[in-house]
This record gives sequence, C-alpha cells and structure tokens, in this order.
Amino acid sequence: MTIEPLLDVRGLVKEFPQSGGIIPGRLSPIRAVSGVDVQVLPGQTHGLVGESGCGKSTVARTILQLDKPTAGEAIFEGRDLFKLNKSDLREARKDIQIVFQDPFSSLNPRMTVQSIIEEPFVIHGGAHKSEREAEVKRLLKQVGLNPEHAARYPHQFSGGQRQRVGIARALALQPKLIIADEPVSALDVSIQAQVVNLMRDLQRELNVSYLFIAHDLAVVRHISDVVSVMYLGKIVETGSRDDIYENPTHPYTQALLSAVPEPDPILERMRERRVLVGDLPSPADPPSGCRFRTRCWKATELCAEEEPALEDPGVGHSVACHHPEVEVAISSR
Amino acid sequence: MTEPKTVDLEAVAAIDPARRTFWGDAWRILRRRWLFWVSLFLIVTFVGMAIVPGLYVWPSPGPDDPSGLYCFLADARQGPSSEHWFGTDVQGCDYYAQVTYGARVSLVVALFATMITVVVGIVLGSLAGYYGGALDSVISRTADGFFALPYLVGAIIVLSALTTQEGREIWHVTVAIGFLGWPSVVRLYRSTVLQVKGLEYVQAAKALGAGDGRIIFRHILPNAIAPTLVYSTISMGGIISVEATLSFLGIGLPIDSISWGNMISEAGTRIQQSPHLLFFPSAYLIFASLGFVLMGEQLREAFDPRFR
Amino acid sequence: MAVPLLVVEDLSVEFHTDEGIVKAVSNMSWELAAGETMAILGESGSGKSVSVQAVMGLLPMPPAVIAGGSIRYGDTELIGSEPSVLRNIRGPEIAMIFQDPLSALNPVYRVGWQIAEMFRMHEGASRSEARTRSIDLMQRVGIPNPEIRFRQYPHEFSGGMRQRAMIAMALALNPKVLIADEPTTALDVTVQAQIMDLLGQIQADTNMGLILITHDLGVVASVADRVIVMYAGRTVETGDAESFYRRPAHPYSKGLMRSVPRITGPLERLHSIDGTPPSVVDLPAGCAFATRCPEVHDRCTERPALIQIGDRTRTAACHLVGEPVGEAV
Ligand SMILES: Nc1ncnc2c1ncn2[C@@H]1O[C@H](COP(=O)(O)OP(=O)(O)OP(=O)(O)O)[C@@H](O)[C@H]1O
Ligand SMILES: Nc1ncnc2c1ncn2[C@@H]1O[C@H](COP(=O)(O)OP(=O)(O)OP(=O)(O)O)[C@@H](O)[C@H]1O
Ligand code: SF4
Ligand SMILES: [Mg+2]
Ligand SMILES: [Mg+2]
Repeated sequence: MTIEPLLDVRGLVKEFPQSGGIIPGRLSPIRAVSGVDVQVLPGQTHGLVGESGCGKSTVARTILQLDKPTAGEAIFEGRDLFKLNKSDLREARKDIQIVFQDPFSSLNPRMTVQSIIEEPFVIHGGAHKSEREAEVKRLLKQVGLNPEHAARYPHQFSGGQRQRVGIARALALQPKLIIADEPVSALDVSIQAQVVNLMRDLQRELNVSYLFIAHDLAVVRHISDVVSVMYLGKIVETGSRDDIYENPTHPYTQALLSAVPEPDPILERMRERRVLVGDLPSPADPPSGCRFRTRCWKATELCAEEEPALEDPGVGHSVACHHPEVEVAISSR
Repeated sequence: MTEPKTVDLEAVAAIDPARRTFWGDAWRILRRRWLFWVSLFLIVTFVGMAIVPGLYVWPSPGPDDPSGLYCFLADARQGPSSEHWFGTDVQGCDYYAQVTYGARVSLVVALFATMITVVVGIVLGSLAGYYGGALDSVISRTADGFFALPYLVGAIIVLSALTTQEGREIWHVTVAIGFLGWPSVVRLYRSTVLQVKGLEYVQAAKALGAGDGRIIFRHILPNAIAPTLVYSTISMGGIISVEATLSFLGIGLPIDSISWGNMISEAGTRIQQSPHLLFFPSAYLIFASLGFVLMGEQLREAFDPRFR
Repeated sequence: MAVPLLVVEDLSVEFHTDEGIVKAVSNMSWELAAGETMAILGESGSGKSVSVQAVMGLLPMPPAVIAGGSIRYGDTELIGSEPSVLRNIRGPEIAMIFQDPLSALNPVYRVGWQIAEMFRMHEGASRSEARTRSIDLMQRVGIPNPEIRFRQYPHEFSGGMRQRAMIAMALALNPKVLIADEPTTALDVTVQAQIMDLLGQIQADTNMGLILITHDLGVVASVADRVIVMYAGRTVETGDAESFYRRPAHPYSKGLMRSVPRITGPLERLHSIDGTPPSVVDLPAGCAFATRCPEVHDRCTERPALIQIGDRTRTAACHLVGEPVGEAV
C-alpha cells in the first residue's frame, strides 16, 4: 500500500492484573490484547470484529489511552500516541474521538444536549458562547436531529437519537479519526440502519476515518473497507472486505460467517453450518500454540505446539493458521 | 391528521420509559409517603425555630429584658403552667422560650458540622476514588484509623487541642464534630465515585481531553452525590445528639450558650426536683433528630432504584 | 392444522402507570400446535415479552392489567384460574427460558441442585434419582462433564452454558410448550448457533411446541414455521415463515426486512425506516406505523384491521394489503 496510514498500531499489548488472589501479583495477569496490529487509512473504515471478551474494546481504549497500554506503539500522523506528554495528548485528542456502544450510559444524564455537544469546545477553548450555540445547531442538523431540541436532556430521546447525539459530540472538533466501539449493537435493526447510513454519509462528507468495532459481521460488511477478525486478544485474519467475506481463510472466520443466520428460510435450510463446539477460553489462560485450537475442527499437533504467524498464505491477505484453506463463501454459490 | 407525512418525527421522540428523570422519579415516590411529610414538617418546624425563634415565642423579648428570655428570678424552677407552658428554669426564665431559642445553636452546630464532613468527605473521597493508587491508600487508611478511634475519645482529644485560655467557642465544637465525621463520608463517596468513574460518559469526557477537575466536578459529582446527601441528612440527626452528649459531658459548647445540650446537661443535676427541665429539651432534641433521620431514610428509599 | 395446544384470543394487556395507561399488547390472537415453531418478531418495546408473560402469569400486577381476552391451554382457561390449576400447567406443561440466564438462575444454589429441584418439587423424586436424572438432562443439553458441572454455581458457567442450564431446567418436566424469550440475544453468534441447533433437536425429539421471541430476522428464518410481527403492541402481520420472507406484506415488515444488514448479496446502501416508534402511552388513533410509513395515505388515520391475504394463513394490518401496491422485496 502506498498511502500512508492515518493510524498505525503495532504490537499492542494490554495486560490487566488479576484480582482475587490472596497474595497480590501472584496470579498471572490477563492478557486482554496480545500483540495487535491495526492500520486505518485516511477516509477509510477499518472494521474490527470478534466475539465478546476477545479484546476489541480494550484495543479502542488503549489507543485513546483511557487505559495505559502495556507495550506497543500507535503512530498517528507520524507521532507515537503512547509517548506523548500530557499537553500533546490533549491536543491529539482533538483529532481522535470515540463513540460508545451504550447510548444510555454514554451521555451524562444531568447535562442538556447543548452542553454535551459543546463540551469539546469548552474543553479546548476558543469559540464564544453564541458561536458555540450556532455550532451545536449545525452539528445537530448534520446528524439528522432537530436543532431546536438542544435544550433537552438525553432521556428525552430514543436510543437511536441518543446515538446521534454521541456522534455529534464526536464530530464537534472535526476529528480525523473516530473510534466507534459497537456504535449500533444496542439498537434495533430499523434504527441500526439509520445510524450506519449516517456514519457512511458523514465519512463521504467529511473524509473522516473510522475504526469500527462490532461483533456483528453483517454490520461491519456494510461499512468497512478493511476488516480484521480478532480471537482471544489476537488478530487471526485481516484483509479487504471482499477478502474476508468472499474468501474467508481462517477456520474461525469461516465459523463466524457460517453462524450468522441469513434472513431467508430457503437459503438457511440449504446452508451447511459450521457449529463450533465449546466456548471462548479465558484470556488469563489461553491455549498453547494456536489459540483457536480448542474449538477448531482442523487442529493438529502442530497447532498445539507452535503459534501460527499472521501472514499471507498465498491468498492475498493475512491469516494466522497452520492449515489455511479458502472456503468459498455462501455468497458466491 | 390528513397529511401524516408532515408529522414532526422528532416530536414523537420522547419514548416513555426514558422520559423520567432521577429527581422526578424520587419526587413521585416521596410525595406518596406520609413519613416524608411528617419528617418534612418536623424539619421545617425546627429550622424555622432556629431562623426566626420570634415566630414561636410571643411577644418577642424586648429591650426591657436584656437577657432576652423572660427571666424573673422570683419564678425560678416552676413546673409547667398556663403562663409558662414548659415551666421555668433555675434563673426563672420561661423555659419554652429557652428551649425554642436553643434550637439555633444546636442546629447551627449540626449544620456546619455536617457541611464540614460533607465537603472534606467529598474532596478526599474524590481524590481517593478518582486517582486511586497511593493517594487512595493513604486516604483510606487514614479514614480507617479514624474509625478505630472511639468517637468520644476523639472528640475529647480534638476539643482539648482546640481549646485556648479564653475557653471553648461554638466553632470549636463544630469543627471537632465535623473533623470526626468525614471518614464515613469519604468511604461512601469514594465507592460511588468508583462506580460512576467507569461509566461511558465519563470515559467520553476523558477522550475529549477534559481535565481532571472538569471530570470530577461536572461529570462525577452530580451523578455521585445522592447517597452522600442521604447519609448526611441522616447524620444531621445524629450530630444534634452528639452536640448534646458533648455538652452533657461538660466538654461541649461554652456554658453560657443556649443550646439543648447545655440545657440537658444542666437539668441532669436537678432531675429529682425539676424533671421538666430535662424533659422538654430532650423532647425537642429527639423530634429534631427524628425529623432528619426520617427524611434521610425516605430519601434513601426514593433514590434507590430497588424501591421503584 | 392439528388441534392447537395453546390458544390466545383477543388478548390486551395494559400497564397503569403515573404517566398514563401503557397499552403494551392490544387485541392479540394466535394458536400454537404441537411440534410447531412460532416466532414473535418486532422492535424493542413492541410487546413481545409482555404477551408471553401474560401466558406464563409472570406479569407484575399491578401495574399490569389484563384488559381482555382469553388464554386457553387445552380446555383450561388460564386467565382467572385457581392458582392450584395454574401450577400444574405453568412449569410442567408450558415452560419458559429467558434472555438473561444469569439473572434467571439463583446465584447462591448449585446449578445441578436447581435442576434437580424440578424433579423433587414436581415429581417427588428422591435425592439420588433427581441427581441421576439431572445429570442425564445436562448431558442432553450439551453441558460437558455434567458430574462436575452439577456441583458448580451459576457464576462458574459461561453465558452459553448458563443458557443450556436454563434449557435443562425448562425441559425437566417434558413440557408440551416451550417459550423462549430472546434465548440467544445475550450470546455470541457461534454460541447462538449452538443453542438454536439444540432447541431444534429437542423439538424434533419431543414434538414440543416452541414460541420464539426475537428481533433477529435471521434466527427466525432458520427455525420458524410461522411468524407474528408486532409493532407498538399490535399485531401487524402473521403468516407462514416461507411466504412471509418471500413477500412481506405490511410496510413495517417490508422496511424491517430491507434494513437487515447481510453477509451476502449486493452491498448497496442499507434501507432504513426513518423516525422512531411512537410512545405506547400515547398511541395514535390510526395506524401506529403511520408516522414512519413510506406508503402512508389518508385512510391511515383509521386503525386498520388484520385482513386475510393470499391463499394461505396470512394476515396483515394495513389498508393497502390486498391491493396491488408496493413492489415485492
Ligand atoms: N479493567 C479490566 N480489568 C481486568 N480485566 C479486564 C478489564 N477490562 C477488560 N478486561 C478483560 O479483558 C478481556 C477483553 O475485554 P474487552 O472489553 O476488550 O472485550 P470486547 O471484545 O470489547 O468484548 P465485548 O464484545 O463484550 O465488549 C475480557 O476478558 C475482560 O474480562
Ligand atoms: N412493569 C412495567 N410497567 C410499565 N410499562 C411496562 C412494564 N413492563 C413493560 N412495559 C411496557 O410495555 C411495553 C412492551 O414491553 P415488552 O417488554 O413486551 O417489549 P418487548 O417487545 O419484549 O421489547 P424488547 O425487545 O426490548 O424485549 C413497553 O413499552 C414497556 O415499556
Ligand atoms: S492453526 Fe490449527 S488450530 Fe489454529 S486455526 Fe489453524 S488449523 Fe485451527
Ligand atoms: Mg466491548
Ligand atoms: Mg422483551
């Protein structure tokens, strides 16, 4: 790729100390994220998918330094975010914003929508009160809300509308990157589509980049240019959207795709399912070798001994598996 | 509605379960409880008494009565009568007026002591809860230390440290009580801060680059204050009694200040001859504390989602 | 159609709250036969859960009030029956599993004990018999190492395992009807697939009737025989799953179907239904979908009745059905 990435995360590791032991520090730490690389190109969307607890939110939170990373670097416009001092970090935060999953807990219930959306301006100084008001009106309009409702409190809005308020707040400082941590997971299908469309329109209009986190592969497909699939703190497959959905190569990606039910009874009954056995192992005690081997139908002895590297096995995108095999996706049948 | 397409979609926004506010819900619950109204009545009565005692004692003490409280030595230590509803004290002062005027000092001490506890508690609780780490350990362990100290012993130590040659003053007692009360508020507030700190809107503010002060005061405080308010309302009731206890033990307010504690303490020595001297200030004390304690209990239930 | 097991007729449920009367379910009717899977679809707050809670007698009364209608199991009317009659039906004959298995399992008792309790309470089984049968059942719902799992507490189970434990408890007494209220919403897709497979197998083995509540159109497509779509407490469409999916009739169903993001097919812009659902406290007099409907017209100020459509058992509540309006989806 010739385009310089806007955000280039390399070797990100985040460990949480395990609590609950009698002697503090005796239990080995939980490696929620263990060596993740993610690149976001300008004006594009990188989708990050994986099951609950695989570390997606932790990736988002460490990039924003809401949690301190254990190791790794995050180069944003040539500077490592993890090495910035306090005031540089504050500056950098203008350019990177976050949208959260839960539209009910991500807005301060005691603040009006006006003060929620203008908070970024207040924090970063500048704009006069009347300018701020005009700006909030403009932002509300931009995300499809009635500007007259600026004086309302968050509880006076529905879930989808609150999520729009959250997006308006994130857009306020004209960031270059928005990290969206499951922005539509808590919404109904009919509202979810509104928010996904809004995010796509805003991207086209403002050329903003997204790191779009979700557990729903179908939603990710509709918004991402590049997709990474995460399992137990590691990325197991990464590639362009078509690579992942048309030529899934890692067994986990294949299982995930086959587990998504299609809203079509005839197609559903024709389809073969790959039903995985068992649950996600604990990140505190990941399996040796390939982390997926306890649920993988292709696992061999090699998989238990050696960890597969994330590299291109000749399919045009990177896969971390000892036995990669393209499985023709249902769409191309 | 012949043209339903023109309906303002935003106008139907208010979705019912979400239309409610925290305070609105609390009020809806409170107004249906008779105990809330009883405690409100008690509090209003006693606070009114502290602010404008003249409303309760009529006629107000005039210039011909410099001690201010209808004292005629000849009438000393009479029992209740139609002229002196609560009888008279050792100096022949009307005891009803005395007890009524005593509300001011008692409540002022309780109020300021509570304010000290709350302010100190919230400041230290914020620091401990928000920053965590070593600061948290220091603050929490200090609070634990205070807990281990018996209250009265602590009060005696603090009061003797504060008292100068000129004798004790009201603010000494206030400070002493406040000083001993903060550890419980710290504990309580710290744990609420820990909960609220993890919520996404606090994280969102952080991601915007908000400073610690802004996060602590604008985002955490308004959402974490409710349990502390409840606690301090309940403890107001307790503090009124603490002041009385200290006075009773002779380490409380200066003897010349008119407070329920002083009256009770003085009456204790004459309980055989003049039980009314003990009875009336004690009754006021009990009803005033009861008012605050009941109010606190009601607030707690109204704020607790489990009672909704 | 076979003799229905469970019949709901004209059921209306209201909540009398401070803010007014919430018409959570209005005039709902359906039947369920043995071996059949019926799915109730609809947006959050549309009354899906409340309708089955009425069947199970789980509504908090007050504020809930059953404003009318009847619920019959076989020959027994459930509304207003003696508690002793109901106890022999709800639980043994009609069982239910919930969205959040953690809050439905008691955290202070061992999981195995909670399953065994079903046998002991309802069938007076001995301690050792209850234990053997519970372990069998745990095996059947796919809980590995049931002997060990028997002695563990709910928090030691993963989400998927807890849902299996819930299913085991519901199945303990061989119910004729199982109601599953969003059994997989809290679970990951790979685990969701396991649970749906399990429910399908059990149904094939026991010929149980299954009511599945969800807002996931994909899950419905994979298992349902029949579909009911609710909007703002009202039934807006019913029908057999295949023809419903092929050609949804109500504008809400159509919009919903087109809003679903897919992992296959053309990558066009997602269709979206503008606006938000109306407040159930203050429902419009006419069609509840009117404020969001792309096909809204003058007659929509009148409330549309459910109208029979097509040659099969399909109905829809829209003034436009039956008339050739709107293209197939
Ligand atoms: N503050 C913390 N302390 C200890 N462990 C944590 C902490 N935050 C997250 N974890 C653990 O790290 C792992 C990854 O968590 P994370 O929230 O990143 O997952 P996720 O992929 O976002 O999941 P979900 O889809 O449920 O949001 C989990 O096992 C979680 O228990
Ligand atoms: N205890 C209650 N008091 C007042 N209103 C209630 C109560 N329980 C439910 N409701 C209302 O009844 C309506 C229907 O709720 P219900 O739980 O059936 O929705 P649902 O379709 O199951 O939604 P979801 O998909 O979110 O579970 C909602 O508007 C809800 O607010
Ligand atoms: S490396 Fe082995 S266990 Fe891991 S996914 Fe590939 S085949 Fe399966
Ligand atoms: Mg997450
Ligand atoms: Mg429900």
